[in-house]
Amino acid sequence: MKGLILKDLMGLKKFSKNYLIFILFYAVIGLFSNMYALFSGFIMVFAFMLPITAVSFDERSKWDSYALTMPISRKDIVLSRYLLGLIFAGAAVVICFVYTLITSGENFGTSLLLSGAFFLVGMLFFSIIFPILLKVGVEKGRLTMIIIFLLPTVIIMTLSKIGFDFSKPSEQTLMTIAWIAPFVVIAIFVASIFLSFRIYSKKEM
Amino acid sequence: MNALKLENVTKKYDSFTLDNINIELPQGCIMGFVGENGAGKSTTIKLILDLIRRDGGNIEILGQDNIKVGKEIREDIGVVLDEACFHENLNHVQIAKVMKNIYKTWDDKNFESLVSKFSLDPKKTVKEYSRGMKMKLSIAVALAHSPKLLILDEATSGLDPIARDEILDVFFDFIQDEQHSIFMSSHITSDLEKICDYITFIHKGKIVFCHTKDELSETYGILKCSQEELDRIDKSLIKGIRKNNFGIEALVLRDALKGNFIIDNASIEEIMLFFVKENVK
Repeated sequence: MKGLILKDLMGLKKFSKNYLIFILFYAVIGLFSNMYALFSGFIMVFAFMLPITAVSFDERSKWDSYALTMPISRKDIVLSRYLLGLIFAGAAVVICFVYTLITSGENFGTSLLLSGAFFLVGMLFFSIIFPILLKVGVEKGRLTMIIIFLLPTVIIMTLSKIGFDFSKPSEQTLMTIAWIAPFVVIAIFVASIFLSFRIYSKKEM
Repeated sequence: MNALKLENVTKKYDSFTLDNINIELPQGCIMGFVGENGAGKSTTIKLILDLIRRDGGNIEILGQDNIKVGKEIREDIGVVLDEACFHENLNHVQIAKVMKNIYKTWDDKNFESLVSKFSLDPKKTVKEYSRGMKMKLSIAVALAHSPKLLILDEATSGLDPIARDEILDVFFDFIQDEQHSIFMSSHITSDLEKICDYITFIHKGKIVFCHTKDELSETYGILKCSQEELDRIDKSLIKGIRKNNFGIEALVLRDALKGNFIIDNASIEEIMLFFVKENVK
């Protein structure tokens, strides 16, 4: 497991350098335009995109079939990828939190809530997309990925077009959602891991 | 004990069937696995390694069922696959770091000595490697965790004759230990002739024969004769016929053929060609 994570981290090192410039760019923009949420959102997307990029590297070099000849089980491979997602997302959450705290002038609690919300949304997308990518591969899965990313926006826009009322929910509803959301997302994340186990165990290399 | 044993192994695809494959590789031996492109070599190797599901039969690796086989046994297997390799952004120093965390038995010194023997540049990443260099890297990785069984899919293809010779020497050193065995598929039959004890020939998903190299040279021969001479020979002894302007060449079962004939030794390549091209009975 450690070897697999190490391989991904080293493989992504070169690739990440280009993205670091982007991140810095967004950080500066956020700083001057007071759009700190933009930066947080961006860095979270980036954090969950990295493990997907790692999978595409693996596909290109046909690493999986090679790795499975080693003392590595199929479950190890799946788990290592989810773990990689969590490692990057964890790092992103810390960066988000510190950045929001410094630049936005919000208090500790709000900054935490904001970065936490981004983390959960990221985890949700990752949980939905990842089993699909394992099933069809990153190359073929790209379109599905874009659709899933855009789907919520499309749904909300359509609903508001046909006259659905999106008035601001009450404080209490928001608090309830804030309490329930983490558990729901964690449950979906765990379910996603088990689904990936199933998909991957049947995959022919 | 057998290092490898396949019993009636079957795998069905829409357009191709691997049909009741039986292979036995005794420990301490090298088996060459030959056949044309698409004959089923890679499919067989993938089945052995449990990368694809078999539709029937049994496979044992080092005495254990290949699907139930645990991580300990996998430590004892070194594999070189035809295409699969490492992340293109990694160099071999990084790869060694990864492998150290995957194999308990990983030996850095051994790896380093193999890498320098194969003259792989530590500054280059896999992306910059030629096909031959990738193969050398895979072979170095496969050997560096001291396996007991090497499974090689086209490990010497893409290498120049000198590099191939170097690698065959490495395999030859490896096989000096009685517990070690090698199962290698290859197109390059001359390589197999140099080092193999057994030759298994697969054609259109079926095993045509599985002989020791000596049996092969004792069993088969190339008979050069005229049409009249050929007509006098028992048809069951003729395995294939090739006609040209100068007469007839036939692959024959030489030990059963009585009479005063000139019979040349048949190379693995010639035997393969006769079986595949010249309407073998």
